[in-house]
Amino acid sequence: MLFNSYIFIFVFLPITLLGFFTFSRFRLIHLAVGWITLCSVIFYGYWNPAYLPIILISMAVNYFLGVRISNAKAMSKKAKTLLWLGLFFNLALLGYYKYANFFVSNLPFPAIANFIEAQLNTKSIVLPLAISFFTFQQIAYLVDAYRGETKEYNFVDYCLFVTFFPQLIAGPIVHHKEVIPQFRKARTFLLSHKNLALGIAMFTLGLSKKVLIADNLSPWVAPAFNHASELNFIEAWVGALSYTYQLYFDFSGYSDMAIGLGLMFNVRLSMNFNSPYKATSISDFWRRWHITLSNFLRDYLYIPLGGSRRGEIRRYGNLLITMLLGGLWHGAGWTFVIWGGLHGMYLCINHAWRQLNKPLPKFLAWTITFLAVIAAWVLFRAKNLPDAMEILQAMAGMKGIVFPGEAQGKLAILTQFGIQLQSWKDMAYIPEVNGNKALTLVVLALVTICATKLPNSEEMLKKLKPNWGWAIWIGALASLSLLSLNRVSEFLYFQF
Amino acid sequence: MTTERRFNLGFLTSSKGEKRKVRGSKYRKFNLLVLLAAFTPMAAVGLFNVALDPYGVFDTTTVAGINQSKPRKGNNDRLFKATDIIRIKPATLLFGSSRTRQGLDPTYAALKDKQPAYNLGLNGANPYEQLRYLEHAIANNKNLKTVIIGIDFFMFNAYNENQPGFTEDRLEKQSISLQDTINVVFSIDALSSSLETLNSSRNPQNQEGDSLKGFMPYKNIDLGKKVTDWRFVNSYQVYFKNHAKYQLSEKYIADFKSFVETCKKHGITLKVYISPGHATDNEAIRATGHWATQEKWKREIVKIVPVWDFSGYNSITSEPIKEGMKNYADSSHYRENIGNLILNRVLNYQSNKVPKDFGVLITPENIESHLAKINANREAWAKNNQKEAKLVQDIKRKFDRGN
Repeated sequence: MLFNSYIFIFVFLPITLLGFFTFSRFRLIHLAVGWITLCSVIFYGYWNPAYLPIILISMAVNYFLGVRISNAKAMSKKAKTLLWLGLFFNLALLGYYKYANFFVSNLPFPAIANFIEAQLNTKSIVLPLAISFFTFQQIAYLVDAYRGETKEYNFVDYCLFVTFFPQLIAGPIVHHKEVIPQFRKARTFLLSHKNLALGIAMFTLGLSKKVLIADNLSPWVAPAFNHASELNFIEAWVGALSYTYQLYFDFSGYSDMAIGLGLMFNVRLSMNFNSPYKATSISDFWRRWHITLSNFLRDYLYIPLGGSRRGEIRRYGNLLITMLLGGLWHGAGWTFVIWGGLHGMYLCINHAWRQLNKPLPKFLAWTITFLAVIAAWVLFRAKNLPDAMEILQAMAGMKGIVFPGEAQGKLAILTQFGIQLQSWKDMAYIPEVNGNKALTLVVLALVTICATKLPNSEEMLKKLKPNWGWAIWIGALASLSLLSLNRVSEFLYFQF
Repeated sequence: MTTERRFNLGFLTSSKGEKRKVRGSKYRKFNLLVLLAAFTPMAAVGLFNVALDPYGVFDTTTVAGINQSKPRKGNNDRLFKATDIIRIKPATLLFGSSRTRQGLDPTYAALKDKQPAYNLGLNGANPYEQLRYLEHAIANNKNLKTVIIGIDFFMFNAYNENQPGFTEDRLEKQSISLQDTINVVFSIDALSSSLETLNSSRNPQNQEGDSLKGFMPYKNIDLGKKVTDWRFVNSYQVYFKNHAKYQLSEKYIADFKSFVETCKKHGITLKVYISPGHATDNEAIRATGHWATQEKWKREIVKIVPVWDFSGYNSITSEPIKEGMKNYADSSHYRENIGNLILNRVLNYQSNKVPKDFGVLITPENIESHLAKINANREAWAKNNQKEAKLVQDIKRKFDRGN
């Protein structure tokens, strides 16, 4: 079930809310927690019931180990052994389902690769939904149990922490310390009209970001990335920018919806995006993009590796390792690893520059950061490295700088400066808006303003007042988004 | 833990609680307002779409000047024809691509004793889609008696996949699917289609309204020279765009075989014919280098069932491309009067009105001599129509350069 579907919005959500607050009203708190856990498991199983055993086994094993670890003395040898066991279990599960195919296909000896492929049947492995998210959450839980930082949780609370449906599929990656205590507060079980209002508003903002912006940009992306070597300067930029914004509005929209849903149940989930495209440095970017993942990588990878405590050289090394693995977490493919590595390098440069203590003017700092981020997204989205290089070369003007215009037109003077002119109709990979390719550029400019100038969803939410104006604005936005969710798919080539 | 979870009912009556309660009611009102603001426009759009019914799926009454002309039905035949079948439960079905859709009139006299008849022609349909619609029709009416299907070479192209408008979800059901209902009621797409319907229905040219039996000929066709030329050139281009790459699909041949067998199993009388594309339609196939593939296709088809072949270079298909054409709208689509001749031939109705060279029943016995005859006719045609033959080749060359 996707958040942006009628079945979720009009069936699943109302039933779940109603059950939760009905049980709560009659002070059947355990039933309320059990109900929402059950609903979350159904939510997960709705995609493919075959995934259910995997997540259930994963939770059972981790809970069992977590309890054993916290019963042992913190940091003791026994705790350590159990922790290693848990890490091995989680990484093996993730490794098998997410990375087996990738590793096997990259083995240097085909004979060995074929043997392993045949033994594990790697080609038929289907990635269970959200496994990257729930694995990370539970590793954090085990590590904290080892550090003696976990309280006693019962199994249902624990299951709810992992499966709580708003965050299950695409984050924010929640930390047990943030959510489990919230399931124990009396206030959580009392219907709050204020939280409901904030939740609806946040959900609507997220839904509109996804449906009205990201989903309309998405068909612009594939034509460019599928024809990487044929793109000219403008086509490459349109493709790269479309993806840059599609990814942001899609992912942050989904996070907003999750946060909104949490609020409806009086549960506050962490902010996941804070206007990342306003960042003026790469480390600033990572404090604003997928914040909960950055925090996780910092707390459970970068700092255990030694962070910055073991000298400058180790610090750079740790940054690179953290980002390379962070890249791999995003997907089993070399482009993701390279993307992570590139961001690791950006962070190193960022850090080295800061040591020089020569801050750049803000606009220049923003421009450099944004360009670096866009270039990295090209790697992230491209099918392979050669494709990414083709697009980046076109964007850098290494294949000639092309402007839209007619050879005989007013802009002809530009050709004296080495700029080529090409008419719009010859730019095959520029999408049309209302049959007009120039409008596409206008739309991208407007979206740029949305992402870099307007307040983000959390900032808007803080300004919300329960008055007519806000009600109509949120309601109209919801209406438009809900009406845009459904499409009538038409016949593509006319009359044959 | 239980103590933590016990409610503190006390605070509701404290003075602080009073304030909370007041603010709570403010948010309560706000929430109601938000829901109202969200659902009023949705309800309005929904009602408007149901009332205008721009895809013709609800059987809403049509009102002249408001919604008698529904242009968006044109690209959504897979949607509305599935619901028409449920409602009308036809005894006779006319299958095929847009050629059937635009050419065969289900109310034509030859079908008088076979009513209710319905035209189930689907744009660009492949044999699998047609098999599924046949199964859908049988699921809705056990008394389906007659099926006439016009088949085309392009249908059996492995690259002619199911259209995005095709979905299994709506087939073999006795009512419109929930997803379809939501899509045609609560969507911006449907809203813009409703507005288009309103606009089109106001146009006095469209006074007559749409056929309710799936028959969709060109409306108000302009037979002037310039427009006719454009339509022909366009239809070659469409053909090259979609079928320059061609692979005869064994799966589609098997689907067609299932189609024939399904009819047999249910005691349905089946007539199969190959559509008469214009002579230059054959030239377009030839230009893609697949003439021999087309001959192979005919050989495969006759192994399954005897077929009336109307295609080739006969007195109907070789009508010169000029203004005021009587037989063709473009190289792909024959006109209604030709559709009537086809029905005459396959149903043996007033056969004396059909030109002798139009429609040959082919079987494994006569297929080779039939193919040889078409090739001989082609030689003669090409000699007399060099300009038309060259036109198609030029367009193909242009198409190749563009790719």
